[in-house]
Amino acid sequence: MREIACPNCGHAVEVPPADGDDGDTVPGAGLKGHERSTLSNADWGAIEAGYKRYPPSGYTRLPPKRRR
Amino acid sequence: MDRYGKLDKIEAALPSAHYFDPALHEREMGVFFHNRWVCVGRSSEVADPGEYTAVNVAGRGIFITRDREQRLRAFYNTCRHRGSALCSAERGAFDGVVICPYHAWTYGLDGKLLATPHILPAENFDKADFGLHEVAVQEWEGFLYAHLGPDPPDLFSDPSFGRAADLFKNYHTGELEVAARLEYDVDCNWKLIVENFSECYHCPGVHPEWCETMPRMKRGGAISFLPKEYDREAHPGGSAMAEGFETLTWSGRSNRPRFQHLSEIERKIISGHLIWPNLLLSFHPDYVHTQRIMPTGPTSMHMVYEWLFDAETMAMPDFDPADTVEMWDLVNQQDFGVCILAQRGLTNPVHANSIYAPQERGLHAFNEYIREGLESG
Repeated sequence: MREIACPNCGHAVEVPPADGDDGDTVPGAGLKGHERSTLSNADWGAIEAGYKRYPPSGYTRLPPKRRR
Repeated sequence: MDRYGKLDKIEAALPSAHYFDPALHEREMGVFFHNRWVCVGRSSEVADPGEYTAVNVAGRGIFITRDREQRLRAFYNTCRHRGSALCSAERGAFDGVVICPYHAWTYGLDGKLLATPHILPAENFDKADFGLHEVAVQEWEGFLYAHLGPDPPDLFSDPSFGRAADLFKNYHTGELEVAARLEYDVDCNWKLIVENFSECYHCPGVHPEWCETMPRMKRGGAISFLPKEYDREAHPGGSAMAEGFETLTWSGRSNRPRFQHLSEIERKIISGHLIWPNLLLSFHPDYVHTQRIMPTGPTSMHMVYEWLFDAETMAMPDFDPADTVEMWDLVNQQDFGVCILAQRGLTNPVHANSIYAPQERGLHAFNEYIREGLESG
C-alpha cells in the first residue's frame, strides 16, 4: 500500500497496488470513504444558470406508437 | 497510439478559439452540420403519413414527415411565398397537406405546391416552380438522418454506420421505441459534450454515484472498464456492471425483461458509442439511452435525451422508465456542470489550448475528425 492525497478532498488515503490491468495506471477518486463528486463544493446555482431543462421537472413520457 | 491503449505523449488539443469564435463556429457548422449526415430524431416520431417533426439543424429549420406512400420526406421549414415557417410546433401531424399559416399556400406531403388561395393571375407563375425546398433524409437503426448539402452521398456509403449497426445488432435498436424524453439548452460549445462523452477520466470524480454501479470506473485513469477475460475488441466502450447488477439503475434491478438476443457478455455490460458528429448511444441490457446534440451558437447547444425500449415492454401494465431516467438525468447534469465550467474557463486568453491526458484517446480521435473535416471541408 502507498499513500497519496485523495483527488477529491486532499486527505491522505492508502492506495492498493495496481493489479496489472492496463486500466489501473492512475489512482483516482472513489477511494473508500472518499466517494463524493468533484462538483460537491461547486456553486450549483451558478452552474444551473447555464442550462434550462424541458420539462422543468419530471420527464416527458411517451406511449408505444401504433405499428405502421 | 494503439486503439485500446494510451496516447504516447501529452499533446495540444484544439485551440481554445474553436469553442467560442463565431467565425470558426460558422465554418464548423458548414462542414459538419450543413454538409454531412446528422441525426435529427427517431423515425417512430413520423410513423404515419403526415406526422412531422421540426428540427433546427444548426440554424437551419427543417421538418421531416412521411408522404402518402409512406416514404420519409424532409423539407426546409420555409414557405416559398414569403418565407414563413410552416411548422411552429416541434412535433405534430398535417391533415394530408401542409398549409402555410400566413397566406394559406398549400403543399402536398411530397412538397409539391398544390394551391395558392385567392392569388391573382400572373403570366409567369407556375406552381410547379414553387415546391418546397427538399432535404435528403434516410433512416439508420430507427434514427432519422438529414443531409442539408448538395448531392449528398448515400448514408450507408459511410462505413461507420455499418460498423456500429453490426457491433450492436443484438439490441435491435431500429425496432425500439421512445418511452421517455428530456431536453436541455446548455451554455457550452457542442464539442465539449462530445469530448466529455469520449473519455471517462472524469468519471470517478464527477460521477461517484454512477461509478458505484460500475466499480471498475472508480479506477481513475482507466482505459478499459472490462475485465481482461472479456473480448474488448468486440465490445469497445463497454463497462462491466457491478456484481449482481441486471441493468443500469441505482438498485441494479429492473422488472423489465432484458433484450432477447443479447450475448452473455452483453447481459453484464453497458456500452457507450459515438456516431459523429451528434449522436451518443448507451446500450444497456433492457434499454438504450440516446443523446442528440444540436449546436445553437458558438457557446450554446440543445440536447435531446431519449430512452428507448422494446414496444412489448412498454405495453406492460407496470412499465415505468423512471428508474433509468433519474439515474441518467443526474449523470447528464453532472456532465453539463463540468462542460459549462470548462466553457467559462477556456475563454481566458491564457488558455491557448487544452491538452489530452494520455488516456483521452477518444477525445483525441474526435479532435482529429474535426481538424481533418475543417481542412478538407
